[in-house]
Amino acid sequence: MEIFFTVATIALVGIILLPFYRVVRGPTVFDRLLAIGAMGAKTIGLVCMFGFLYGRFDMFADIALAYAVLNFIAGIAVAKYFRREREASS
Amino acid sequence: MSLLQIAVSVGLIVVGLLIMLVGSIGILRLPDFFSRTHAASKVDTTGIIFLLLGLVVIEGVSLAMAKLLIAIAFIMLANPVAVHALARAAWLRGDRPWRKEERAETNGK
Amino acid sequence: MSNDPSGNSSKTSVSRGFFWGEAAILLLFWLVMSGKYDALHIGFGLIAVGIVMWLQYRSPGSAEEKKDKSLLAHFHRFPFYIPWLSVQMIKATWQVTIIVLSPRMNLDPCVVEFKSAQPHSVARVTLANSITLTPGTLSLKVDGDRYQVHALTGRNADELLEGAIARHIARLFGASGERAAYDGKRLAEFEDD
Repeated sequence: MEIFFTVATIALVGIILLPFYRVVRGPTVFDRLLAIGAMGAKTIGLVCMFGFLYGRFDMFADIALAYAVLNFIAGIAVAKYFRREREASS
Repeated sequence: MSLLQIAVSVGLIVVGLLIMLVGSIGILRLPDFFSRTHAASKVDTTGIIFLLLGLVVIEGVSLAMAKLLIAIAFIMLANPVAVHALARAAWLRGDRPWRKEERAETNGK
Repeated sequence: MSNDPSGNSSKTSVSRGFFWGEAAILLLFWLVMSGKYDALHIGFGLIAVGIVMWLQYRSPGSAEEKKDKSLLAHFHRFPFYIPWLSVQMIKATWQVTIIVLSPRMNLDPCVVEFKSAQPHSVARVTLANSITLTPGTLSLKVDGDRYQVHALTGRNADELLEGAIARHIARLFGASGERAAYDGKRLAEFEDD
């Protein structure tokens, strides 16, 4: 079980790193933001997996929930900011 | 931990990881921002929910499980909204979706 | 849940029930999150719940806002929504999986617009969320009754314009489901707004 969780966590880290290509190369700014949002959403799962690996799941569940809320707020705020930018410039 | 519990949870976690892998590949492969939002919203949300459900099964009935269920409900509501906010910002900013070439030509006149 | 805009007098007793129900749910949420059950922590929880309820019900607001104030009044049929949404999400994931993993991606994106008569703003939000999670469609803009939706394939767009999803949401929130999806059209030119 321990081994399975270790392997699954490593696989999850690989999956999280894949969209990083979009963050670096993404043609538009929204591609980058979308990739960052997707990475953040998957990180919620990663935090929970770490909780199981370290055997302190009750604590990491709180962290995961807080991270989910933070990721959501950040996405909304950034989306609003980039719309404002256009309105101000046009 | 019973054997059935472990089997179900391992299955759910593996399925969740595969779905998230598809979501990542989709973000890399799809041609434009708007089709990538489909991969980020539907596929990622489903993948994370499968992964967390696997953890719920292995955790059993406890306070942490209740927290995980709250997290699942929150992700189900919040992830599509965040992606929608981005897509809306791009759409209102004037970005237009990629289209198949032949369709773009026939509709152009 | 009544649809008439002037149902304030008959609604007070009902919304009082929802008021205490909402407070109970918030308190339950606090108990789950805190995990400590002595008098001090539960007391803190009661104070926090009181502040949240005061913030939510404080301002007078317009008539429509008042109607929408108690989220529980609109969300008490939520349990019926989750299984349906789960099935839709799995279908949607399967479709995107096939598109992404096939060597030549079979995409034909288009943007459609339609109108949908929903009973209140919570229903509108739920519909937009459902559009995003159902196969092949993603809501771009919601403006009152008007929805602009990006669809991955033409078939997804046609299915959406048939209105099964919108009708399901309207029925879920107690409306008849008539005029759930009308004035549907494809935005051929992708013109602004």
